[in-house]
Amino acid sequence: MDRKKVLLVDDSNTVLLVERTMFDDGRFRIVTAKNGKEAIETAAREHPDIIFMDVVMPIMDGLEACRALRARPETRPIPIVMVTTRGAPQDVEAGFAAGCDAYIAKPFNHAELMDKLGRYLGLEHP
Amino acid sequence: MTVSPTRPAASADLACDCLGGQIDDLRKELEHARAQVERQEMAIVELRAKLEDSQERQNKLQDQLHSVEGENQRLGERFHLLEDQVTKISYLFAASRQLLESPDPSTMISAITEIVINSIGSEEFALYVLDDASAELRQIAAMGPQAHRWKALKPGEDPLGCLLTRGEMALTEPGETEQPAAFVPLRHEGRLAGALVVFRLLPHKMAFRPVDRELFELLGTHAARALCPARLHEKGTAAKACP
Repeated sequence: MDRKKVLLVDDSNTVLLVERTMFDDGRFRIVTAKNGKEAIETAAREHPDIIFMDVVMPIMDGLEACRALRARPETRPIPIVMVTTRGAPQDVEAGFAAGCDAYIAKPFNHAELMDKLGRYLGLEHP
Repeated sequence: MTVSPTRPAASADLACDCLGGQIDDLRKELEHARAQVERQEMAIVELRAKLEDSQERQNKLQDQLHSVEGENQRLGERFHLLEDQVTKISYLFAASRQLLESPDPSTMISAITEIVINSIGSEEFALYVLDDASAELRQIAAMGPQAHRWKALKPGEDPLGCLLTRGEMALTEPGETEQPAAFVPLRHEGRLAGALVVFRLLPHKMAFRPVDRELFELLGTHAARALCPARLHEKGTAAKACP
């Protein structure tokens, strides 16, 4: 079975663990990063099929990382979903201006994550 | 001029023959028509049987369709229920593991902070531990202006102190009252050891979910156990400000 590779980016271990648990149905290979800089390095090395990324992070935030990923030819086509506590319209606009494909507000639920996977990876909801 | 007496008879015979022929023809036609009618009647009987059969099949198919639609609805409801369960279990699992695996009080406070911000969706909150000397709850972590106004909680004083005296978890819906969104006593071995107060939820979070109550209950039990050493460790230090 061709398992899709998902890059999860968040400085919170709790959030990474929640996401890992929700994705743990045998269809995905999970790689993680703790900030925007690590996300860029990991994406260039691992070529994930999709990225779920927090906005507020130390060292490099999610918006800057998103712009950098879009600027690189090898990471440009990867769908990026911002996952953040910042749900105000101006924050959502800033996310799309940085080049993200979709936006999920924390605290998210399983259906929201699966919906994005279905939309960007063409996966059936299990 | 004489008229042959046989002539009218011959003419009548001829007429009779002619009529007889017509009658035979009519009889044949009648037979033919009767045969046709019989065939049509048989066809009608067959068609009626087929119609009844197809109506019976249609009724059966309609029953099957209703049954499948009902099953589909039940499966849909079950699917949403399971999806909610996956969400709930994921949050509870992650929170339990973070709380239980935090090696020191400082990491524990960070874990609690992460859970309160990301899993519950709080914008302003504060964490307090019991100060044995003064019998007050002293703030050890806080986020947001409201939280910074309440550096300590005194039993029986002001609305928060009253909640403290009551000693029970209290959740209110946003905008419902002047009370904080959540007041969660933290207990250790049956005794009050601290409190978590959520002053305000994130603007896009309209109400608490069922899993939030369970997360608060988890924090109320496990956070307290961890904050006892935290209290010792943090004693005399200033409250930790969250990012």
